[in-house]
Amino acid sequence: MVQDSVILSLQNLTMRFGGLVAVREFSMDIRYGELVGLIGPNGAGKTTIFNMITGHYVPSEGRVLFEGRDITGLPPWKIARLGIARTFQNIRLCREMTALENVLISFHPRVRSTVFDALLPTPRYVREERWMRERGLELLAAVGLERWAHFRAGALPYGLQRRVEIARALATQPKLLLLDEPAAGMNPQEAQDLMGFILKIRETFGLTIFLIEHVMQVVMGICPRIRVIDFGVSIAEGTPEEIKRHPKVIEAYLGEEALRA
Amino acid sequence: MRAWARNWPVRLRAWARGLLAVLRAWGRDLLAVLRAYWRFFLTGLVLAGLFAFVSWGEKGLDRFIWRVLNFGAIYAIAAVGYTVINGVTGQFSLGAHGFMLLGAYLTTLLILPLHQKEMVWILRPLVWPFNRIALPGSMFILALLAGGVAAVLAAVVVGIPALRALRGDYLAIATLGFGEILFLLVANLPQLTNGAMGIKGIPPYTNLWWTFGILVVVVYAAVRLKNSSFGRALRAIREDELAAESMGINVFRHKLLAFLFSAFCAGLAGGLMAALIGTITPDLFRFFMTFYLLLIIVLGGMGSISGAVVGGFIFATIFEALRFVDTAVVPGMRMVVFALLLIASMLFFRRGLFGQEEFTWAGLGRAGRWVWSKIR
Repeated sequence: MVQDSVILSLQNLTMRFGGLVAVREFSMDIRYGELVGLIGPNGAGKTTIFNMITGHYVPSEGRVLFEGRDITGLPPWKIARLGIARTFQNIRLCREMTALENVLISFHPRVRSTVFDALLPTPRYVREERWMRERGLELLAAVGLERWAHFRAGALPYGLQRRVEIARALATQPKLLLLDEPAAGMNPQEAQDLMGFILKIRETFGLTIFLIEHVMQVVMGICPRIRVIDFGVSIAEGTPEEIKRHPKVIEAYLGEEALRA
Repeated sequence: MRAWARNWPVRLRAWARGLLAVLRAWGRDLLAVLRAYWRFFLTGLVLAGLFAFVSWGEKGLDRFIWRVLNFGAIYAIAAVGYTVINGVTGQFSLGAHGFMLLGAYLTTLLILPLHQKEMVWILRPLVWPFNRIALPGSMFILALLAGGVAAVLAAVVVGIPALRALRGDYLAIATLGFGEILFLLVANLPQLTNGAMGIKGIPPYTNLWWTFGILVVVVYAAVRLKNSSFGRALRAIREDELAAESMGINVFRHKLLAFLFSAFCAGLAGGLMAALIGTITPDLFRFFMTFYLLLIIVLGGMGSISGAVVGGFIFATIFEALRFVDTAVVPGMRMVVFALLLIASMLFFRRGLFGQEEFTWAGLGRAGRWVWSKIR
């Protein structure tokens, strides 16, 4: 993989909801293998940017290029099949299904059997189903969830649910992983553990990761490059050190008074 | 005496010991096979029992019970399809009666004898090609399949726009409207359907062989579908459509798949019902038919195929048992009872008989042990 080539290029993305401009002319390039953080106060438009990348919103203006291909306006399932996977801010697991079944859902788009193969069932279908189960258990083992494979996802503790969601995203074999506030609702210790986990899966699966967080401390530790937005406008980019000292960032997070004091 | 005759007790004992060893090995193998496949054996046993029951019941059963069982199986067929789209996939469709209507009329048009067709269509002659076709009883299955296929085609027409754009209440309204359109078409095309006067004298081809046979096939297909990778995708759509879509599942295609399956089942059920009752009018398949199915799958547990089957038979039984309410109180009073039943189940019994679970032999074993532990 060429380290310097761009995997995801966001060009002048603008999203309007009626009169409200949620995101204004947001541009950014992410290279292969990078771990980039996107931070900003509540309501800054971070999730809107993710939704534009994954096709849940069609940007009012601008383009999204994934591996050099224009994916603006494609439906979410097509974008997912190209190799972009995501997790959600408020965990969206299939709660009535087991952890393993949640992971197996992600394998489904790669199933080559037809419905009729499944109805009979033909050897091809039986083979594929066995393959999926083995890979699913392997993947759960890789994220340390093998003990919980047959538990109902909705019954798992919060931190584990988050991991199941990440495992489900990994099962699509993504090239780019979008994590929407993975540490939301966690205490500092849990958040630290999660960040270690994210670094680990990035190593194991050779991923590019784009991460949203609104608690600054969390991303500071692991992201070499951070972008800050406020009110839908990009206000700063740099290393954690640069970001911490950037006046506009301090202003956005703490208010203008903090700067003067 | 010769040698072999002299020590025959020794020889016999050795021989018996050998035989015993062979038998024991066989027994071990047999037990191993039984342990691995006991579910299939039990299912096979039940199917054999069903076969025996049907071959006896076709002649030996009381006609009233025979009729209730046929109705039960027909409701179960339609309800299994209905629970796949409404329960498993979570798409609130209210158009099942339209598909049953289509199946019933097409099957009727195909099997009605020619002399009967001349007698029924007195005001306006029946259009070609139905005025030339009258399938014999041996080809009943073709007529039923034609009804199912017609329902599937109609489901494609309504499903492609409706399932692509609509969900929740809006989908319910659109499919409900579709059912009403079909009703109005059938009521107002006398040269094809004899309009509101209906069709009588349909040959009574439906029997327990057809209803139970088709029910077994439909249940098998639905169970395989639900437990397959496709079924997981359908359940994922019910649980969280957005998440399913984000994992690369083509949500629309899977919804359509479930919708077509349910329409096919409804079409078959409609055809079977027409050939059971013997007389059909457009009024027979109005919204209340979908309401029955909804009641069945809610009582059985939304998304449970076992629940749909059990619910179908329970419904048919209660429906016939409550016939006295209609005659004793006010005609139509039965519906009030059913509506109350639906409300009560929604209030106190929302998961229904089975919830989303299925009947399994292992589950039966667990339940049995639990009951046994309570008794002791």
